[in-house]
Amino acid sequence: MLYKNVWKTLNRKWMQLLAIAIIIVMSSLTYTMMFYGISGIEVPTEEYLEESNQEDFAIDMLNRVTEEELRDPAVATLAETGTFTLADIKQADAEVFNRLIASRIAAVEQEMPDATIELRDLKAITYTFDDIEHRGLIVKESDTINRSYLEAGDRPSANDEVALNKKYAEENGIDIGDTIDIGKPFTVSGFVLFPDYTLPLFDDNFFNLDPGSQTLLLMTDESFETFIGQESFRLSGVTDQAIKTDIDLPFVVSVMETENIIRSGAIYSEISSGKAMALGLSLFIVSIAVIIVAILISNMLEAERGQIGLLKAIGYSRRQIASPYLVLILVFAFFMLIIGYFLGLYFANPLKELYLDFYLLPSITIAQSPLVFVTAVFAPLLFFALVAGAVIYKIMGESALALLSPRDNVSLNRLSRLVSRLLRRASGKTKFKYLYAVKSTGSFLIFFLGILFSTILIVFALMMNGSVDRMTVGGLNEAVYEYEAYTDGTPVLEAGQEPFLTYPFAFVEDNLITLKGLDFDNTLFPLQNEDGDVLTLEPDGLVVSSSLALKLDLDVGQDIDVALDGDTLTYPIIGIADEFSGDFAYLPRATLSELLTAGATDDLFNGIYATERPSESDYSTILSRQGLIDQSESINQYMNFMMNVLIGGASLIAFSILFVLTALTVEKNYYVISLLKVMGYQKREVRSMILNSYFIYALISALLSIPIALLTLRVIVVVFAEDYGLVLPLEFEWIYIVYTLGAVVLLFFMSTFISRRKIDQIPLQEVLKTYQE
Amino acid sequence: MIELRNVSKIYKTGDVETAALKDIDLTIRDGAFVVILGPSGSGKSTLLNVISGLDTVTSGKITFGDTVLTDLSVDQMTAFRRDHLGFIFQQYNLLQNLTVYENVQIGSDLTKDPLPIDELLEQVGLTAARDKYPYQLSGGEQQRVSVARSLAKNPAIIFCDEPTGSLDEENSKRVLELLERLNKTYQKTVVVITHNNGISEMADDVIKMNSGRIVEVTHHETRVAARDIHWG
Repeated sequence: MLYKNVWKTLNRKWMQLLAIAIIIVMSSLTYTMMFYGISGIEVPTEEYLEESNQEDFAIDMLNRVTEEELRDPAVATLAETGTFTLADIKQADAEVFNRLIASRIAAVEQEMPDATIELRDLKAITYTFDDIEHRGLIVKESDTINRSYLEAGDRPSANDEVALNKKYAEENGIDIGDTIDIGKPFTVSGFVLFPDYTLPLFDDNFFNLDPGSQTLLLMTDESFETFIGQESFRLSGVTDQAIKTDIDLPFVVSVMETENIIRSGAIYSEISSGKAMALGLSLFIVSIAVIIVAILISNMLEAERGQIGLLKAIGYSRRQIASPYLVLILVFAFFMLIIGYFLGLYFANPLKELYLDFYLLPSITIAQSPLVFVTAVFAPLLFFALVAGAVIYKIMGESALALLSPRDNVSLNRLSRLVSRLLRRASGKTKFKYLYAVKSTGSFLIFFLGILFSTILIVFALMMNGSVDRMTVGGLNEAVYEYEAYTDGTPVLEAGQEPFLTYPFAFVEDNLITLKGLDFDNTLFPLQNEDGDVLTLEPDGLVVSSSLALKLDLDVGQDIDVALDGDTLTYPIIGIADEFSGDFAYLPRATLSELLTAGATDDLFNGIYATERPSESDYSTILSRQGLIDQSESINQYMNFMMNVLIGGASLIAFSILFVLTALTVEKNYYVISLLKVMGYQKREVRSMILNSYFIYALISALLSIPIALLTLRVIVVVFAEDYGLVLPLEFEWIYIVYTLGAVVLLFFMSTFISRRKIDQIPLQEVLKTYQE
Repeated sequence: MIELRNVSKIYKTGDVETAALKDIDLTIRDGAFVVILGPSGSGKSTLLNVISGLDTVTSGKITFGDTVLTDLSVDQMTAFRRDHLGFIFQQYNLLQNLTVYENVQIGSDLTKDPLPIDELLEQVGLTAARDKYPYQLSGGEQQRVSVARSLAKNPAIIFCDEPTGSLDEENSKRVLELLERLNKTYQKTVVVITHNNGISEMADDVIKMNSGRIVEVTHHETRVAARDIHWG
């Protein structure tokens, strides 16, 4: 009978229980989904990286010969003919190239005697697939480090065979045995992965992670050598000893440990931070749920003090009275946790697939783990049992007489006293309004933290909005050109073509940057600052890209030292171009040409911007602006999706908290509401007095969340810049404050709609019944 | 003046109808001290509810001066209560977060022309306790705060539902003295519902109820002072 009674009481609170159910389900769903989603890729990834001997570190090296290397007569002879880049030397004289690389490897091995070093040889290509420009990165098979990993099929054995990424094949409807034209036709022999590209980030200057428009390619060594593409080199290393990252060798640009290289190591931090987030986020949500349940039980028992007192008086034991409350609440929580667990299991697969949309990793079917089930269901249940048990035990502990007597007035908490002091000069009505929400410290804290947490996520999501777009194609959208092309020769310029000169070997504060020379009258690639003002180049100043400025904390007017071929030149920064795609410093082409040729010519160029597609015979690499924009489309869609998920999840939590707490407030203040109505306060005024303080506190909480979100994002930007050298152009706009407050207002009115109606429905005669606050 | 003509109130619970008030005719004069007496279930609380607009009538008419209360909408009735009526209940119904002064202020905020709060606190003998919270007061003191609160908006009529029901004799008499003073000094009409016969001695008019009907109306030419009534 006691169970029936409690069951009926709970039934009357079905809407509050529904909101609490959402929070409980979300806690176990978050944990299960994230944990299984991550473990779905973690286990096979570990095996894959082990099997293919992933590099422990990578050395980015100067793609041209150093002064020291020029002492080699053969190298010097080639340099005199303008052949000084590694790629050109390899084409001109493979023997000299091999000698150069061997000496570089030997120099590194001297610095790290226990390390094994190997050359990584890559060729970047672009080709048209289904009328869309795709990118390929042909990776030459290595002997020991970063070996290819076959997901299906075979490695290419004939010169007309190629292996590519499975995800790319799936996205483009390619099967093993199909023919693919990547400049010339190849038969697909298999699906392959490379451990140094767990992220398909092929180009440091173009942040694109879309596996549908770009792929890694493996072909026979012979095909690799004959295939035309932009060739690049680096050194890969493995060692059991400590990695020396401060090697002082002239050709070494940087030595980075795998964990700090975004293309190969991002997955490590993704897995560890994903797990931490799964636990932290679900712990936070479950804590909110537990405390709200405790508040609900406490209110419920307080409302039934007399009834409980009577039961005790007629001989029921504390355990007998407490059991129905505890058991029914735990059964309710248990079912919600189970629902959350299975929903989490269901959503883990799409989450895993979402990871695999951007990471090039093998995957397995998600298998359930008893440990995850226990953590997702029984750990929170224990938490519920302890807290709910403590609340019930405390109230049941009172004597029958105390429970049957009207409750003594309760003294004020510190928070109420503080607010009361702050509102010393306010009217009684105003004081009443603002003191109500802080009456219970626990409820108020949950409310405040919940709203704070939710609004931080909303602000965070808003600030992420467009950041990847700015990072990938921000500059491209402003540009006028259609094609960007690179040449090794000196083709005749045609109408609609504007030359530029790039020099990717300059250093600023030990950071490798690209100097880019543009013509004064350049119209196809106008440089603009973030306000949209056109920047004019000057011979004795530099315009730097926003990403370089952010990374090195540079500002207009500041002088920077640029190391160029052993010389150090000091330039003032005359402008910051709104460009996040790489570390560029812009100057007039004539100035750069004279610098590079020791004054011999002011008309050197190695690339053009063009309005029409230039001839492939003149230009080895041709990039289509629209192609790049299309390629970044999917990551932008992904980011928008993530932003919406973040805003949706945060809003749902905020909604549930606001709904439960305001509903409980109305329920708890039944008599006060009735009294106010009897006194002559209109419904509108009563609603405002009971609920609007929550509104103000929600707005304060939202406003506080903005600096916290800004601080958090600042930390993220710094961590990314320092660890990965990747500048995230996260932006804060004042309009976001309006959006955030707008979202809070909307959430508030939606979540308190029922409470408002309930206030209107409370009858006046209630005040005549036993009054309690 | 409040007039009730043929007022009936029937409550329906499922198919069962209960007549709480049956054809009530009653006149409450301005400035009168009226006591409504009756046992539990006699309909006295229902009578107070319908006169004060806390509940609606099933039939009949209630007027206050020229205003027909039974014709007013919910909002209009709220405005009427706001402008003309004060309430004191058996439970003190104080707002626990507010001090004595602020509890009275909640009443005075309802009107543009309230009575001075400090003066009211002096009247109820709580000047020294103005910054105390309800939990720091005795039951008698809390009821005096509720008297001051009801008076703060300067209502024409004060309805009291068992105002001494939770108090001992001494505190009850102090509260009744206050009501007496309100009636005499401020010319307020006071309507008290009670089952304590002694309180009827201080009334101008005593209305006895039973089974939803007025069974007797007594008019006192002379009233006994609150301090001197026979406490029953």
